[in-house]
Amino acid sequence: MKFVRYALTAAAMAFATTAVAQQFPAKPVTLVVPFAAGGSNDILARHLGDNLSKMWGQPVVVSNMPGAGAAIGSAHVSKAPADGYTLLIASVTFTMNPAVQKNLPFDPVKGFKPVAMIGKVPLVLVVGKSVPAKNIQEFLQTAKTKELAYATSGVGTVNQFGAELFAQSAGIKMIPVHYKGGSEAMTDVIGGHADLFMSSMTQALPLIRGGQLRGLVVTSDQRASVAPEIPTADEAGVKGVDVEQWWGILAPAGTPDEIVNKINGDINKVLGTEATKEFLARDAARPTPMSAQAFGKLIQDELQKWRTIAEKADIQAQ
Amino acid sequence: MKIVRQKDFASGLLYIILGIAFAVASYGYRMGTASRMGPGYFPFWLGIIMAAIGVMVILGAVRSRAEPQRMERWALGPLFIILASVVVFGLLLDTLGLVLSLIALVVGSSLASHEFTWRATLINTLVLIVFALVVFVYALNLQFPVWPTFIAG
Amino acid sequence: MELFDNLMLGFASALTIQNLLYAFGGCVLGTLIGVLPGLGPLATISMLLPFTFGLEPLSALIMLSGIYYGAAYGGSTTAILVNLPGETSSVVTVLDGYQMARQGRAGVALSTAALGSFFAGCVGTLILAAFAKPLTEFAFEFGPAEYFSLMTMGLVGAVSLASGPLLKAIGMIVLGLLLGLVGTDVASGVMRFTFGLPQLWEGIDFIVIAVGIFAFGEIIASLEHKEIREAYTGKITNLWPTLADFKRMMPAVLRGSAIGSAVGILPGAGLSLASFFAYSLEKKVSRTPEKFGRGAIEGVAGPEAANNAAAQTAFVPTLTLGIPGSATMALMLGAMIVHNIQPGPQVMTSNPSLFWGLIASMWIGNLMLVILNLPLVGIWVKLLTVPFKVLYPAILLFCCVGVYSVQNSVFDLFLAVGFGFFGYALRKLECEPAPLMLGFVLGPMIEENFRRAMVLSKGDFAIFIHRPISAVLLAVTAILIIAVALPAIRNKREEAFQED
Repeated sequence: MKFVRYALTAAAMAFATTAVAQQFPAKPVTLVVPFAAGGSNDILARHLGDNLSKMWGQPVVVSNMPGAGAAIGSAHVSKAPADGYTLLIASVTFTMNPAVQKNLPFDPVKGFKPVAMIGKVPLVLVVGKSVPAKNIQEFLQTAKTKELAYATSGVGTVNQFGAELFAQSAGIKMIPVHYKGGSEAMTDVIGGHADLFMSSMTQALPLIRGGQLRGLVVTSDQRASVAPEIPTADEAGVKGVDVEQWWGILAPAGTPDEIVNKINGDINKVLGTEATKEFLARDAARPTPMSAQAFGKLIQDELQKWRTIAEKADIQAQ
Repeated sequence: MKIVRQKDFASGLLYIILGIAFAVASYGYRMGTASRMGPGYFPFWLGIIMAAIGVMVILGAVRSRAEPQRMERWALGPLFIILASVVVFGLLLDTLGLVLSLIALVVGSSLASHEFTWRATLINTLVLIVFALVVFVYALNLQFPVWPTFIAG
Repeated sequence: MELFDNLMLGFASALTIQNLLYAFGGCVLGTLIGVLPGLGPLATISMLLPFTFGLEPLSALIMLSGIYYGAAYGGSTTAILVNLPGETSSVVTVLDGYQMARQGRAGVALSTAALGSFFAGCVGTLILAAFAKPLTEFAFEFGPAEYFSLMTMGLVGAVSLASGPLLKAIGMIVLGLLLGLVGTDVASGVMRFTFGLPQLWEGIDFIVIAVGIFAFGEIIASLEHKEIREAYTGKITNLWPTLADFKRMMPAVLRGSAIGSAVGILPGAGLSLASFFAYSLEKKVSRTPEKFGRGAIEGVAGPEAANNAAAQTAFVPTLTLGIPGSATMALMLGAMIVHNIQPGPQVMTSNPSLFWGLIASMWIGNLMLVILNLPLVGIWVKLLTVPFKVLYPAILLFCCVGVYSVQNSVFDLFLAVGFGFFGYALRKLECEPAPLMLGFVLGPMIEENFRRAMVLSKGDFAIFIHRPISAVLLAVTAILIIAVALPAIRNKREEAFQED
C-alpha cells in the first residue's frame, strides 16, 4: 500500500511539477519545532499543523527537536530532502543568531527556502520599580543621567537587539545584563534589580495590565491593538526603531517553487480565518500573510540589519 | 614516600588532572577580572582549586600513619559489555531503527550476567520490543526511527 | 472567612466526577511513565502534555496536575528502587531511599515518600491559597546578589550530602560546578568546553549525567557483586512504616514542609534547593547523623516533603504573574496558554473560579496520588523480586530511550557511556556522586548571578553585604562553614595529641 503510494508520487513527479504541487501533500508532512513542547513556537506550530492537515487531508506531524538554541532542529531541516515534506518553524532569532555566533551548523541563507510568514508581535519597552519614569521623555532623561541596565534573555536575542536598536536610535548608552530566558529577566525588572526589558508584548501585557510593569513604547510602526494607549517609538520621537518578534515557515533549500507557493497559499488561507486571528490575538500577535518571495526578502534584509547593529553595539560571543 | 591509601591517591591524581585540564581549557577564553568576569575566570579558578584539593588528598594518602586502603579489582567484563552494548545501540539506532538496535542492546547487555540463558533473554527481548512499540512509539509518539531506513524509506 | 469561601468556590468548580477521573487518569499516566528509569519528571510531563490538549481548560489543568504529581512521585520511586535520580531534587532521595531498599525496606521508603509528600502538599497548597500575593512580593526582593548568597549557602550545605571524607566531597562539588559550566555562557554567549559540538551548546543534560553515573554505574557494580544483589531482593520485610518509623519521620516531614514552602517560592532556585536544604537540616538536627546515607528514614521523609511543598509554592510566581520558576513550570504555563488561559496578575480577579479551581485541583491531584500509590507500593516492591538478569536490560533500555529523547540524538547516549565509565571509576575510588550532582546544578546559577550582581553594582563587591537578605544568608553560610570545619579541626588536634 505504502509502496503504491510512493510509486504514484514518483510517477506524478515525472509528469509535471505543477501536478506535483496539486497533489501535494501525498504523505504526512513533518513540521519541525526546534524547541521543546509548550513554548510559543510549539503552540503556534500545533495550531497551524491542525489547520493545514484539515485542509490537506494528510496529517501534519509536529516534531519537537530541541537543542543548541534552535540549531539542532534548524540544521536537521536544512539537510532534509527538499520536497516540502519537512518544514521548519523559525522565529526572528533565526536572522539574529548568524550575527552573533560564528559556527552555526547550518547556513541561514543557502540552507533554506523561505515559505511563509505567519505573524508578528511588537516588542514593548517595560520598566519596573527602579525607574520611576511614566513616559518615554522621562525615561530618556533618566537614561542620560545614569547608565541604565537592560535585561536580556541571552546574548544575541531579540530582546538585546531591540534594546540596542532603541539605544542607538535614541542616542543613549545602556549596559546589558544577561539572563537565561525571558522569565528570569522579567522577574528582575519587576523586582527593580535590572532597569528595563525590551519584552515581547505577549509576555509583558498581563504584567502591564497588572501594574507590575509600565510599558513606555512599542517597536512596531503602528500601535498594538491590544494596548493602544502605548505610543510607538516613532510617535514618541525616537525614529528608526523597527523590530518585531515574528514566526515563519522555512523549507530546505532547493524545494521546488510550485510546492513552496502551494504551501504559502494554503498557510495564507489559514491566516485569513477568524479562528487564527483570534488565536494569534491571544498572544498579542497579528497575522501577516505575504508571498514566499517577500518573506525571503524580509529575511535577507533582517540578516543584514542585525549584522550592522551587532557590529555597532559590539554584540558578539566573546 | 609510600602510597598508604591507594584509592585516595588515585582520586587525588584524578582531581589534579581534571582540575588542570579545565584550567588550561579556560585559559583560551577571555579572563576579565573578579568584578568584570570573562567567561574564562570562574572555570579557571575552579580548576586551580580542584587541582589544589587533589594535592591535599594525595598528601593525606601518603601519610605513613594513615589507615591503609587498597585499590579494588575492576570488573572489566561487565563494564565493557554494558557500555559497549549501549554504544552499539547508539550506532545502530539512526540507521537500523529502534527494534533492531533494541535487540542488540538487550541481548548484548544480558551477556554480562553470570546467570545468562538464551531462553530468558529471548523472552525478555520480545517483551521489551512489544513494550517499546506500544508505549514509546504508539502511545507517546516519541521521535524514533523504528524500522531500518532502507525498508521504511 | 475569605480564604474558605475561595477554596469552596475552587472545589465547587473542580469537583465533578469527570474531573476526578481526569485527575486519576493523569496520576496513573504520570506515575507509570515517570517510574521508568531515565525518564525524569520533565521528560514525562512533556511527553504526556499532548494528551491534555483536547480537554476543557479546567479539566486539562486538573489532569495536568495529576500528571505533574504522578511524574514527580514516579521519579522518587525510581530513585528509591533503582538508585537513579530523575531530577535534581531526587538526588538526596537516592542517598537513603536506595539504602532502605537494599535493607528490604523499599515499601517503607515508598510509603514514607507518599505520605510525607501528601502532608507537605496539603501544607503547600494552603500556603499558596492564603499567601500567594504577599509571597510574590517577597520573592521580588531576591535579586542576583541574594541568589548568589543563597546558592553559596546551598553549596556549603552540600558537604553534608557526603558520608565519607570531607576533602574528597569538596573535590566532587568543584568538579560538579565545572561540569555545569559546559555549554553556552549566558553572560557572554561563548560556548565553553563544547569542542565545537553543537550538541553541547545547551550544556550537559541532567539526565545524561544521572543515567551515566548512577544507573550505568549501579548496573555494572551489581553485576560484579552477584551475591549481595540476590541477598537483598530476597528479604522484604514490612511494607508500611511502623509506629517507631512514624515517630522518626513526622518531625522530619514537618521541617521539610516548612523549608520546602519557603524556598519553593523563589523562581529558578527553589525546586532544586528545597530537598538539599531539608536533607542538610535533618542531618544537622539528628542525634544519629552517622546513620544518614545508610538508610535513615528521616533522610527520605524530610527531602520528599520539602520537594513536594516546594512544588506547590513554586506555583506562586507561575500563577500570580505568569512567570515560570523552572522548566517544568514553563511547560505547565505553556499548557495553560494552549487552553487559552493567559496566566498573569489578573487571573485571580478576572477568572476566580479557574484560579481557585486550579488550586483545588492541586490538592485533588495530591490526594489521588496517595490513593493511587499506597496500593501500588506493594507492586513496586514486587518489581524488586524480578530476577536481576531480566530487570537490568530493561532498565538499560529505558535509560537509553530517556537519554536519546532529550535532544533526539545519539550523541547524548555516547556521552552517558562516558559518564558510565567515569561513574564506575568514582565508585572504585570511593568518591561520592551526590555532591557532584548538586555542584552541577548550582554551578551555572552561581556564576551567572555573581556576574549579574557585579554588572548591576558596577563592580562593587559590597553589594553582597549592603543588601540585608544577602548579608543574612552569607552570615548563615559563614556559621555553617565554622560548624563544619570545627569538628574536623578538633579531630585533627585530638589525633595530633594521640600521636604525641
